[in-house]
Amino acid sequence: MNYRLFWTGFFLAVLTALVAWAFQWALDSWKEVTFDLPGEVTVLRFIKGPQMTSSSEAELAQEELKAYLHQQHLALIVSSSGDNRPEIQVYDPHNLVPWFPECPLDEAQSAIPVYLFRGTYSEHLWRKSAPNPFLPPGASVKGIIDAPRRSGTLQYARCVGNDLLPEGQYAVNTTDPVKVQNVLALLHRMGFLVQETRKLPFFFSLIQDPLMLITAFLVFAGYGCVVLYWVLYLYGRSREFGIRARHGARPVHLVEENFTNGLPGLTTGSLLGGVLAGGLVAAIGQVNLSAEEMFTLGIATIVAAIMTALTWLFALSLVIRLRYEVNLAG
Amino acid sequence: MLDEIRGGFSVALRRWPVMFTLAGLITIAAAVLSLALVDVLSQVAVLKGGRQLRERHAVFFTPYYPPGGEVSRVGEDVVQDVMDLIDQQRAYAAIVYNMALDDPDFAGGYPVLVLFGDVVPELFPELHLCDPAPCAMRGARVPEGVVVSVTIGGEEIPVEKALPRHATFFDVNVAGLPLDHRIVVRALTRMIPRLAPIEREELLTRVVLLDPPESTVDTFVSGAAQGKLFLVPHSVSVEQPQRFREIMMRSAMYIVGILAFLVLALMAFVSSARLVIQKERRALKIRQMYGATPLHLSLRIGGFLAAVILIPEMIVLFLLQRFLVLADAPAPNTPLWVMPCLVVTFAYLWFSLTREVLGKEGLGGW
Repeated sequence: MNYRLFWTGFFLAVLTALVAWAFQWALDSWKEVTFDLPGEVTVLRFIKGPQMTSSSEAELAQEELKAYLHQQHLALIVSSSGDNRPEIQVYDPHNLVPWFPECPLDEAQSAIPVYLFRGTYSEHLWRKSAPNPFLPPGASVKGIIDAPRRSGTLQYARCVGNDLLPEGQYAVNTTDPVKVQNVLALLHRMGFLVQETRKLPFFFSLIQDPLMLITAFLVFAGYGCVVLYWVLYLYGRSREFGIRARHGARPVHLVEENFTNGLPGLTTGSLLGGVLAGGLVAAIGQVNLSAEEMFTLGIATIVAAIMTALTWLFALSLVIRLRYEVNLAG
Repeated sequence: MLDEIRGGFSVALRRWPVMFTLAGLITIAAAVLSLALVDVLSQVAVLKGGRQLRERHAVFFTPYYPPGGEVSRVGEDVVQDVMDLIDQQRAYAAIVYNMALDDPDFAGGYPVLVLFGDVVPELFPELHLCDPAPCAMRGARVPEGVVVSVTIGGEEIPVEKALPRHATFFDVNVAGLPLDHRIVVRALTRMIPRLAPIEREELLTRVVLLDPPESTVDTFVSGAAQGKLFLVPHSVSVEQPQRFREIMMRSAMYIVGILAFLVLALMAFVSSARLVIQKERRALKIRQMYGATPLHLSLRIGGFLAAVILIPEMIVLFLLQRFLVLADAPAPNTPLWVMPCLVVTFAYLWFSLTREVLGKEGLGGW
């Protein structure tokens, strides 16, 4: 086994595994902002606006908003961002939100169905049958659900009731400018002012993540260093290639032979590097790897192995094929 | 001798595109490594600082404020309960950001940290706080005599002495608050009723209960909720290690990634350096024929290596360290730790490359 190739493969796989971790986290935090809503999502932050709105007007606009969302096949998730109750309100007539149970269709009923998040203080209170000061009046706990990923200190999710929606973060599963504009207009009528609009295609959220950027830079620069290292290494073997060429070896054969000889080192190094980097980070964070994370790391290791092999092939072609005549001349 | 080192530099300069790129990559990696270490060290300090709180099963709160920027109206009975708990040394509280917001000249314009509770000096012994309360201290970088006293709740509290340099308040709510530019006041609970509503609200959100029975937590949370201040309780002994693990995981990724990258960059550099020296073989041989000793040749090789993997990195790390000191970073000396690692790497490469060249090229041994 060629140890040069083993070590380069090893370190490249370490870097690739870290990119995979960073990617997984970026995906998680994107889902956190979008609360696992399917498809493209627009996230808006609303505060109370300066416009004067009577409560009856606001209620009317809210009913229109619900009807519009229902008709357009959309779901709305309103979450507190440090104001009001530590809650998430969901309006999902078509059951698009995977973690949220159904809301009763009969909205006329007085009790607001509430689902407490597992592991929260509210669940603790519910288990010992103590009153929960975070719940709105008229709420009735329907059960315990797993919180959407990284929901922080939010305590529960509930169906949007007849009470007016609060300030906070609004996520709706569309980026269509016409639909977003309609939702904005209705919320304006409800007395809200949009503070920031974030359209969130995953790619933009990815390139704003510093960890993702740094690890991607490291892997990119790492490949640059490896290409330089391999080219110089193969350049140092020019005399050997020249002698082989003078004895009739064709460039294709030389590339093929060296490529095949390098594969055991590269593959072993890549596999070991991927497994070690994933394991090390998980061990430091003392987390158990989920099936999804294992899958991402596995894919990253395989991608690292393939990419490294292709880079090795590229370096071989560069030195052997392009410098064939030079090597031949000695 | 100096001529030899200068000669080594010019060998690197003649191949500046490759050498400049490699030097740049190694420098960036070394700088990022230093910053990642700053992060790790400050988190370790936070964890260490929170040890007393974990041992005393402290409970702290995440606030959810009333809508529309309104200040909460928590009942007097809840405030009185908190005051009693503080007086019984079963809780402490702090005001970090909202003290005298409407008075820009308060405490000479310096930010103020107000602490309530006689248990505070016990929990944070490294701060060497003044005793007994009420009393006040100035941060190490607040000049003496600028702030003579501060008035809280109608009571004038003299500023007595200075805090130790780089003193940091490791409260659970503020992960490491540097105190060098602050005035720290130890106030008495009797001043609480006379505080402005916004100051009182911050105090309630920063209450830390020590070893509280469940009923105390529940009563406080439901009392505050009646005033539209929703406080979600957390246990320090659960929350802090978890947060620490997450941050350590992130830092570990930076450090492992940068180390892996540094190894690759150094491998590329060593290959490239070997090739350069090989090309310089004739020049070295000629210099030897004209009387250059192995020492002269090794200095030339050392000059070349230093130009790429030592001097640019040292300059950047030194500047980074100065910047971190000026910016009051929690652990400003981490660049100084990376420096010896680079020196050792440089020394190793210098030694091995010189030995290789002198041995292989027949230019004489050591």
